[in-house]
Amino acid sequence: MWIVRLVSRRVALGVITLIALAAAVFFISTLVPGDPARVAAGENATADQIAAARENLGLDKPVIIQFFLYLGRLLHGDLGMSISTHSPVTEGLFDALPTTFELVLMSIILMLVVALPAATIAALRRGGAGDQALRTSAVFTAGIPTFWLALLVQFFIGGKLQILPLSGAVSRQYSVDRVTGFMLIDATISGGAEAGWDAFLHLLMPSAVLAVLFGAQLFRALRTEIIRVLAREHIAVARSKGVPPLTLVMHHVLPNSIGPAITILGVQFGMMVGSAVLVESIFALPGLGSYLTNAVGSADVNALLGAVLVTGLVVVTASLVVDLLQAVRDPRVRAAQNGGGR
Amino acid sequence: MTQTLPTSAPTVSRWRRPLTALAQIRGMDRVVAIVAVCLVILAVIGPYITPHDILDANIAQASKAPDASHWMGTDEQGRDVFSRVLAGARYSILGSIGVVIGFSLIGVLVAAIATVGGPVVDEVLMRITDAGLAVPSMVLSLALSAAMGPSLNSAMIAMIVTGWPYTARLLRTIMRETMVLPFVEGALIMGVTRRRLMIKHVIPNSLDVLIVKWAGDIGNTILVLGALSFLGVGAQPPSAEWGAMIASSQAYMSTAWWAAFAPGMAITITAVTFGLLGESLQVRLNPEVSGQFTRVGGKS
Amino acid sequence: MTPDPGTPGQTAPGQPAQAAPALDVAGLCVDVDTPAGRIRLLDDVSLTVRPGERLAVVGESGSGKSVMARSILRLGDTYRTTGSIKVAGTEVTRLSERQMSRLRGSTVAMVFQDPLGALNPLQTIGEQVAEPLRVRGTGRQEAERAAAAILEELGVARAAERMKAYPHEFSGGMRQRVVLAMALIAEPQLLIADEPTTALDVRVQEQVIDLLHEVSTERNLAVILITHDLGIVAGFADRVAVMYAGRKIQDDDAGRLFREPAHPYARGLIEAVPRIDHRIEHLVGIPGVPPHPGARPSGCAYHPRCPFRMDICEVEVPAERPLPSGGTVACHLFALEGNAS
Repeated sequence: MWIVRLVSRRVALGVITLIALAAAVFFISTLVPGDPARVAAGENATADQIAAARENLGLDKPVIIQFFLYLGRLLHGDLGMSISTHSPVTEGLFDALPTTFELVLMSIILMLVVALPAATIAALRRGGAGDQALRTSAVFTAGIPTFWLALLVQFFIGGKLQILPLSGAVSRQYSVDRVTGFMLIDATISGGAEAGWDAFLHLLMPSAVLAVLFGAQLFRALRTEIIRVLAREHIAVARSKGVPPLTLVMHHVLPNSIGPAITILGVQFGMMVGSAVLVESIFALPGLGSYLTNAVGSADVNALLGAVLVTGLVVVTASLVVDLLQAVRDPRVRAAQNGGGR
Repeated sequence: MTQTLPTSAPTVSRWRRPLTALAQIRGMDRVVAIVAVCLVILAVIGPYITPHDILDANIAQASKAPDASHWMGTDEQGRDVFSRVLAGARYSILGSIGVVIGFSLIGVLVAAIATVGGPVVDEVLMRITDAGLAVPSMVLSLALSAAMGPSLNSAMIAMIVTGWPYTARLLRTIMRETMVLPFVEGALIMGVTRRRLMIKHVIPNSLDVLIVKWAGDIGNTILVLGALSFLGVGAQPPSAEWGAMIASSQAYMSTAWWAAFAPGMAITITAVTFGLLGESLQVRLNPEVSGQFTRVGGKS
Repeated sequence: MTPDPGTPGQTAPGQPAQAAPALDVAGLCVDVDTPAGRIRLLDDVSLTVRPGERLAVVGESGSGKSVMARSILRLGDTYRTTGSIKVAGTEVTRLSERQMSRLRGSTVAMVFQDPLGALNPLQTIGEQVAEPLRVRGTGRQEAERAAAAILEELGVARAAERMKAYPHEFSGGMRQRVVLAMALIAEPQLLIADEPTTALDVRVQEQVIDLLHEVSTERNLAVILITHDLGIVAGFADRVAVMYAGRKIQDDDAGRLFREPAHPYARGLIEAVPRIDHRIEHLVGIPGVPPHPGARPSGCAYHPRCPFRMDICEVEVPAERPLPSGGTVACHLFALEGNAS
């Protein structure tokens, strides 16, 4: 079965990647000035207490042993305690992740809604006025710093024009119980459609800001790919069979162009999580980004490194999902999986 | 219509048009190149040509809208925004160039070792590279820079440490392709050592790709470096680094939005210029490379 | 440079009243705009194909033969076309894109060079063969039945079962049968085969050419075989048109052309055949290389390579003239009657 082979190979690779990442993170943590045992034992600890903490954390052992102890703790989902929130890092990240996912997924939807038709039109009318205009604007939007755009959009649309809410995940008037962690869903459960709509409006501006830069990248990649597919012989063949233009685009051009777009989205997913840090801190969304910026403010190393590892996990998972999607989409990829290793 | 010309030579008049067309394209690219060079020059001399002192706070002059004396207005402490943007070019542009040079060196080195080092070395290095690619450079440099203690130097080091995997991946692919080219294989058979081959042929052969990537990378790096400063792990106030300028004017958007607007615009212009430079170099130097790496490089 | 009205001296020019020719091209010029300026790919070509006739169009790469094929189906979006193209009596240059796509497949169809590239990698064989019927509103089951039938007819064993397979699971020869099935399923009157065997190995080449011959006879299907390979032309074509540098330079009955080629270029082609494995991409018999479309010589484009070059050849483009044998030739050697050596 192709799916078993694919998943097992990718998971194995992913685990190796994550171990390498853990090693890097562990290395960084040893760079941090200060004595972690002292930090772990608390501010007013006695020398004995610090020594006990040191033994407890395995800090008296050789570095390699320390690393394996660290890996062991990671396997149990133990990322240590956050010194700023005084709660386990795992817990804090678990609370924060859904908000970030919601933001990124919403952005991806917006990106696709805009970039896919725009790229198709630009590619079909290649060299025309619309294509030129779209390409030029894509070049310029790809150079706008996300955090700056977020500030401007927040100031003008949220502040001056007051079209959309300034910041936050939902209006104060709705008390939302945490069920799934996804605000759109939780708000709808707690406060009905009205609260859900309110949460949606709050999400719109941040996700649109996040979508601008990545949408421009996606547009450019898609346009190039569609042009490449349009030049392929089977498109001419389909036309020579009498396939009308719309059917041609929907059945032949787009399905063949979407593969690279999926790959790019997979790469972008991780970067969008990274950029979400900026957007969340500006729009006061309680996601991974806000957690990270808090951690930066209080030099909370465990929280910082935990966030790095979790982001790595997210990216590795995203690339697994991408490979699965590619295999579902393309019979040749499935055949390659069945044919055994490369 | 075609003139009658000697049989052997193809008609010249037909090729004059393409040449003029090419010259015109070059003209457009030249504008981009000139702007890029100007930006770099500005980054070098910027701090010496500022009309006002960049640290001279004057509360009486605070949050003034742009006028004849302060072309871009003043910020919340009454400092001249235009002067600060000029002076900040040094940190943002030269800082980014430094970062790109740093991670390119590491990337080339890793790719070269992976290419000549045999399958085991290659596999190990590529796994490490993949691990580096697995975390968005934004997040990793944020953590690293915060762990080292926030400063512009920390941010730059963090970006060098997290930026090289993209270069290493791309260059390894290119070097692999070069290694199987006939002239390289021939040299190997002739007994040229792999190391000598790498220095004499393979690395020079990858330079085209590298130069294209540099231009795009500088654009990306300015965005990320600005973002790191904005988040407080890069240049610290009162530095005139553009990201730091935006960060400190953030709270005063409603009274002096221009103080945040100008440095952001400067970042955008720089990023777009270097992005365009990359594109035109790409078209000119190696049109066959799909350019996915430059296109989806680590952006903020 | 006025286009010839009709094609003078055609062998048996079937009466227009009887049945419209499968293809009637008159004064066709095709230009493209490139960054290097406008380039003429096809220059004043006229050609007629009777229903059921098998015409081979031969020439080196860059001679414009594929451009002609694509402009007949209007597949070249960048082409600027002037002149007239009538397919089964319909003037295609004036059709809307919608009307054109209705004509494609059902009146005129095409088979392409690379049978793997010609198939959509993401759709099953069955979907693709049935598609020409499906886009014309035929029900799924009926279209699939027709697809299975035509695949079976073209020699794909267990067709109904293998229709669920994807293109990459087929061999080159089988793929070309699939491509042919797609072209034939909506029962066109004219089939244009553009280098259909170039990507195949020699044994499969013969099979495909035989298959083309067979369907042509059985269905009274007019076929235009575009090729640079004279070796496959001999047993297949009724008539041969030779192209050089965007122009038709000779058009004659296949047998006569092979026996007594009139144009010096055609002569060179035929003399070259036995020596170089039937390929004419690199000619032994003709010195020099064919000109780039953007830099064609003045006058007769062949004059720099022609052993019989005269002064007039560098200045004036030779017009098509009837040959005593019944074909046409465009060469100044034939300007004076009986001047052929």
